[in-house]
Amino acid sequence: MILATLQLKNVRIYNALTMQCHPKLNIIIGNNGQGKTTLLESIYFLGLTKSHKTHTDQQVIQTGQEFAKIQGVFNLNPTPIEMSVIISKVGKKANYNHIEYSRLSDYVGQLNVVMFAPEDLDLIKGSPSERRRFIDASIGQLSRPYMTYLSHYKRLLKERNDVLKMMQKQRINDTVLLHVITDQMKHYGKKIINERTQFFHALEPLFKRLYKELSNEFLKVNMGYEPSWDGVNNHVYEKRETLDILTGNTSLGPHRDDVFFTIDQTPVKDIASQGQIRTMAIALKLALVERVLEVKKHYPVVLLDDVFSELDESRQHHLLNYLQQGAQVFMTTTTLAEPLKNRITDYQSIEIKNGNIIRSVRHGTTTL
Amino acid sequence: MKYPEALQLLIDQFRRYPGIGKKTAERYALFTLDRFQATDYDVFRDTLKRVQDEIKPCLQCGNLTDEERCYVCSDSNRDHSQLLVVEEAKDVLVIENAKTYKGLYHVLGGVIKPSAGIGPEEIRIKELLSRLKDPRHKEVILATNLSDEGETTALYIDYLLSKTDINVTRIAHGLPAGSDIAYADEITLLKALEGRKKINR
Ligand SMILES: Nc1ncnc2c1ncn2[C@@H]1O[C@H](COP(=O)(O)OP(=O)(O)OP(=O)(O)O)[C@@H](O)[C@H]1O
Ligand SMILES: [Mg+2]
Repeated sequence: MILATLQLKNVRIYNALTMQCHPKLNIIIGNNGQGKTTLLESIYFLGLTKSHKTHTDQQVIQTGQEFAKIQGVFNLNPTPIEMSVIISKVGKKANYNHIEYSRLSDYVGQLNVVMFAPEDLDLIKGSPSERRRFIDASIGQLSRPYMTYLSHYKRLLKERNDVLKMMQKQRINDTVLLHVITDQMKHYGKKIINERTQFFHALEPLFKRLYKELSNEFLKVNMGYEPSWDGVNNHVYEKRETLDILTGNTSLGPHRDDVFFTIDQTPVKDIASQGQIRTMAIALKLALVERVLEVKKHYPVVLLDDVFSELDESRQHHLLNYLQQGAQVFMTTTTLAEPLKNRITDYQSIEIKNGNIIRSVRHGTTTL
Repeated sequence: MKYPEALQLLIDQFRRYPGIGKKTAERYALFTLDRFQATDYDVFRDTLKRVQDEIKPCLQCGNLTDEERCYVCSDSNRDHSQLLVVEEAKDVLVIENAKTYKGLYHVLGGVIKPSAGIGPEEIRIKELLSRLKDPRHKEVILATNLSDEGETTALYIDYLLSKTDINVTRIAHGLPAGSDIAYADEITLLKALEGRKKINR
């Protein structure tokens, strides 16, 4: 899907904004704190009904306002499609073509987006919860039932933990209840593990290929799914029960999953250089772009937040060329460096200042 | 707008009802003030009092009644071999309106939800077990909602009864009657597939 117009109301620094978008490449230019990231965040939110960086939705609502609205018009043949998300203090609503989706899991997946952000380094060297966030946002837009499985799982996990805590404090001793809830939770847990296994099975070869293309190194990099429980062996699960009661917490399952990254079989955290970690993060996101293409038969909208400042010029160009094979790209930068500027022809530059577009110029031949 | 105190208190009372917002509560309160005759106030007050005094759960099944036993439990023509287990008394009303079920009921008065402090002890499971000592009851149909908590409750009761001769069944998950498969959401469809059964020939 190609975003033609983006409209924001009360989104962080933006009171009201209407932005006409270039179908191929949009370069958003502005000083620090002027609202560049917020534009990308908004497009991400429109697709996934979540922010890529904040954990609570309400943080995107402009201070002092009751709600925020993000709206996009997409050029589709024969008629344009409108999508919108309204975030209020009490929750959020998503509309696709004027139809409100009571279940966000049914809405997500219609607009695919992949964000490249400075925080991506944490995907490689940060805590497992960062990687689970990536897993869920990625599979969530590729598989419709996934988000539903996940919300059942989370709810049942909470119930199980509450039972465990009551047993820990010896307020109850109802193993039947514990087993009933455990079985229910495992039912959804297995489905999640299956989806994750399939996803990483497909992602791994893409990641390896893309890392090689980006780095020109001869190192053997690898990545893959590291489930905390395999979803099959019930015996291991039962063996943990005593421990779980003792701690009042569920120690195995998708909520403890992780992703591993290695270079020559050694965990990257121990040996990788900054540059290697950065390249890995980019390769991971590019692999996701390719996976979206495989599954959905179209490119996602690609959002590049400040990723370029870290790359040398030939890599910047390589990456842009690569993405421009089909994806609509939005990228941010504080200054559009001459060398890059000289190599691209067909794009739109959008200068922003304090939540307003102060200049928007189309370069090249593409017409709307 | 500031209402006189008594009127505001009435608005607040209406607002306690499910689905009633500020605007509707105001309309109800103003309607009352506008249209009620002195006798209407008396009827309303007396009715509320009677509901409070007379309506109570059926001693046997937990359904709402103004007698010891509800009309279902005291009807000897009902099929005593079946007990349909539901969450709330309002579920009985819905099923009774369909006029197809001929057995008895058992109202749990809630579902198991540890996170809300509701364990098996807090709902009428013990009462169900003691009712089942009556040898006329042969089948239990678990008709709790298809939510996670409804499912927990059904599985829990099923486990307790698995060691008895009681035949336990669960209402089917699936597509709403008259629905088009093309428009079903994926989860409903998956559930319907999981719950598929042989066609009786
Ligand atoms: N809820 C909010 N209400 C009002 N303003 C907000 C809110 N959240 C963030 N802001 C403001 O919005 C701006 C954030 O903009 P954003 O992060 O998009 O900037 P940026 O152009 O990406 O900056 P940088 O170049 O430093 O990354 C900041 O000025 C911040 O103070
Ligand atoms: Mg930024």
